[in-house]
Amino acid sequence: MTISLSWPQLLIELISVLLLFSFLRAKAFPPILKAMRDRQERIRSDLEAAEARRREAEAMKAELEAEVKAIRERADQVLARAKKDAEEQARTILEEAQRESKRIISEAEVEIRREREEVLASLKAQIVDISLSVAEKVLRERLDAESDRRLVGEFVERIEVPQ
Amino acid sequence: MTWHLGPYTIDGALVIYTWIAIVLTAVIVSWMAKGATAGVPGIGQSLLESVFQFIADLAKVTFDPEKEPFLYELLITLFLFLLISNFEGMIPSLHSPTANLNLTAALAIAVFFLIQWYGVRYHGFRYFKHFAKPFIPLLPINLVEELSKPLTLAFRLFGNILVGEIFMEMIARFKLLFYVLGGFVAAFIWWGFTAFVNVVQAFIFMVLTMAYVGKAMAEE
Repeated sequence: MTISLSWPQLLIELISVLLLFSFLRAKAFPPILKAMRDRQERIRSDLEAAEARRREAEAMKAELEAEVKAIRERADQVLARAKKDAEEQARTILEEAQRESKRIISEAEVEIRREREEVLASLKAQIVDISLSVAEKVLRERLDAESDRRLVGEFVERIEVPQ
Repeated sequence: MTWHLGPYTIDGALVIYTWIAIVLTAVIVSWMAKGATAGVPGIGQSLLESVFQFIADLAKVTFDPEKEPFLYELLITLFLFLLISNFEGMIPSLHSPTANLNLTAALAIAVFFLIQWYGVRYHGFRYFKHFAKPFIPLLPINLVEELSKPLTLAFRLFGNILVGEIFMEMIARFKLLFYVLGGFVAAFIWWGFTAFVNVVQAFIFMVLTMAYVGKAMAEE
């Protein structure tokens, strides 16, 4: 241990340390520095990839939400139209049924009236015949057939038939 | 051990101790860096990376380690070499090369020129004008201040490590005190303190170099 300085000694020490420095700089440091840089790069790229994926997922979510909304709207529209159609159809059916029933009723009325008139006519004819046969039996020989028929017919014509 | 080189005498022991530290540093660092991976690092790589990261974080205050790889790696080399040199004295029968002023002075003088070099690189020769600031009469004081930087760097490291070694040796030499009167307790305490000082002194030398060069870069 000495505190005397000598220039050659200083030079030897300095060159020795510089040799160590060159060795470390050439051989030992590069792999470490490269590993650290690579790791940094990898972490950065991983983070960027994660960010990109997150953004992509968000875009997809928004897209799907819009799609769901559109589908819901379309479904609502379809339902509303179906409801309207059904109501219209129900009304049409009802109206047709009413029309049909009216038609049936009026036809029935016409039929009834016609049949009544027929019945009445045949009734009148039968009454005339019966009356004639009765009258014939009662008043045989008093009247000839021609004039009797006219007389009774006039009588029957006057008979009022309740409607 | 004295070597003769023409008219000069060389302290051969110092050269050997220096080279022991150099070889130890080279071997340990190479072993730690071997097979360095960007994936999960082994224990050696982790330790070495934490030193790199620690110095990079400190350096970021004054300069960008990515843009100044030479300076950055020089600071790491300084720290690792000084750390191992300081601890070399704790190995029985070896001495710290840093307990000799010749090594610390060589490094401090190199740091002195490094400061001037970075000053000129960043500001051209206008850099030397700052010695005359804020006004010319302060020139001698500024020069003394500048020259005191390598001086204090060299003596601080040298003194701290030398004292550590002397005390360790003294405690070990008083056999009666050491073995009978509980002197080993003092030895253990002193060893712990010396180990602490070894780390701190290596760190201080590196950090002051960083600060001086950083100041020269920023000087206006």
